[in-house]
Amino acid sequence: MEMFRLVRQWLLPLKSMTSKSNCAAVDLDKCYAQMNQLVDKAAKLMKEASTKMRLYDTKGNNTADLVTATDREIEQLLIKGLMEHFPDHVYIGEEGTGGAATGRKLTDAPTWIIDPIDGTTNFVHGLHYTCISVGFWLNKQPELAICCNPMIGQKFTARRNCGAYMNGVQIEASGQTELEKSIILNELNSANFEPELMAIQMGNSQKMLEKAHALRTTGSAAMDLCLVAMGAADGYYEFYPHCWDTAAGVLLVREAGGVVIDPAGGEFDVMGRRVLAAATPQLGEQMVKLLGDMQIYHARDDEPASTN
Amino acid sequence: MADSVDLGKCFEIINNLTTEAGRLIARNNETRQEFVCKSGDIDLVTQTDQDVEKLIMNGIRQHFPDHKFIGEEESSTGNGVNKLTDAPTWIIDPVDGTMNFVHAFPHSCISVGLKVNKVTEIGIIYNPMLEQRFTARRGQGAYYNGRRIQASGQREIGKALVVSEFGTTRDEQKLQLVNENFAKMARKVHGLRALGSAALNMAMVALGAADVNYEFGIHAWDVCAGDLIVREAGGVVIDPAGGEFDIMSRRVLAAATPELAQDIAKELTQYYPQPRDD
Repeated sequence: MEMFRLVRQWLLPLKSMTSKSNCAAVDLDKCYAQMNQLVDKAAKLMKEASTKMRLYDTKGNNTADLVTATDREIEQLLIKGLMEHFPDHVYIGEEGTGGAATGRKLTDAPTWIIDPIDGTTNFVHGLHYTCISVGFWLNKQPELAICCNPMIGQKFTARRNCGAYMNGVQIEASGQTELEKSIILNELNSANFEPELMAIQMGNSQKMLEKAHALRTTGSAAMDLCLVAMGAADGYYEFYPHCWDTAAGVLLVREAGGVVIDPAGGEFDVMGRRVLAAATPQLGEQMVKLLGDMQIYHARDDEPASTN
Repeated sequence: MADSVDLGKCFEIINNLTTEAGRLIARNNETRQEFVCKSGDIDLVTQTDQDVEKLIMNGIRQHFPDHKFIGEEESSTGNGVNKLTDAPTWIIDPVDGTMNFVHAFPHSCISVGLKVNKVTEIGIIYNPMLEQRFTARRGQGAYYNGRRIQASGQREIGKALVVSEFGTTRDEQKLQLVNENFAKMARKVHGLRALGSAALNMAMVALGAADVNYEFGIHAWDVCAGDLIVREAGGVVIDPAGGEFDIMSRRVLAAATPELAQDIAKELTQYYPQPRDD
């Protein structure tokens, strides 16, 4: 399996990758170079803001405002920077910098899907599971991905069919096929707190706890996907994440040899607000089976007026 | 007795030993590990656990042949009961977060505390994978990679970030209780995290990155260093029911402030793990 993957990578032309779409040919090399540069700039900003955050915290100022300002600043830096080079592309950012965050269907057009700070609560508190997430999609599939966590100096990158990397070193999902030996990641999202949804959420946790090796909660969907991609965790599922939380991570996991599907077993839909990532298809199947019909469906990101 | 113990020398020696042990752990964390089940269930131990404990104990014995040890692996190999005396006693968890370590999840650490006359004088928690080193000496403050740190000062439960664990037992009653507490906490606090290392959870409270840590089922070696580091950072460590912390009770609640600690204690459904560590 390992040999096959290595051979496949050698055979692919890596030099200059362009792709056709409904728009003019998209220069993926250029897209990646710009995206990389801008993420590095944004990462510096994020690190700086994090030190200021602690000051604000102890002085009792309004941290909610400060974090929103940083979110917006980072998103603007990224989207305006990309727009300079790619004015015809579509931009979906959590803060709405490039147009409405929700209510737009994913098309074949080159589309940037951006979360300026994923794991905002962690960021506010100074807990290190937080990152910038940028995904580039073309013809409705992910082509480029970068997740950058400047708190602990971890930058995850992937290009379709070129493997996944952390800080330039290739990473692989764990290869784990058994749920009993797996670390599973999940989040206790406040959107799932009303009694019926809470019962489903906790019921699923209980089932996983009984079967899996261990359960972990980090507070960041994008970091959860990164952890599966690097093989530190074996599976992750969540009923809630927006497209900007998963648009990059899905490619990282797949390029690392893992799978990303819908928690009910079907195909992953980046606008569906549901995700299940696993080291292997077998593990993914076991997780799907365990979740069974205890599913949660939130308003889709491509439907108008998503308020979650 | 404390005056005849050179605490400065103790600190220097354990600091160096943890660095050495850290290299061993970081190297072995590169690959997923073989493990054995300890007390059945999913309480794991690896060769690295044992190697690290040996490295630290031998290193200390060279300089302080009379000092005592309460170590995680010592306990599990049948020495069982650990009675704490006034003698200088090192309380060691060679790899806290072994489950994470086995999976190459970079969130585990060495945790070492020194008690003299039953008072914790020195505490070190070191995660070599992410280079996070927390240290404290009684009365001298708490430090993170050489920088002085303080707990967050958070008093309000609604703004608190809580770290806890799902635990290493599959006992149904315990699991239900863990879940029940999680569900209760989730609704009241800013956020809930489960990262897999008791010692690092306490370190996060000392750092101010988390505001509360509570857990039922931990051992003395998981919390000895953390207890000192949190208090030296200005936080509090109590029993989860609101009373005084008892290091052998297998229960801990650390928080940024006394008010927050008591509010959390009021919310928790209590659990008393048996047997105690003594």
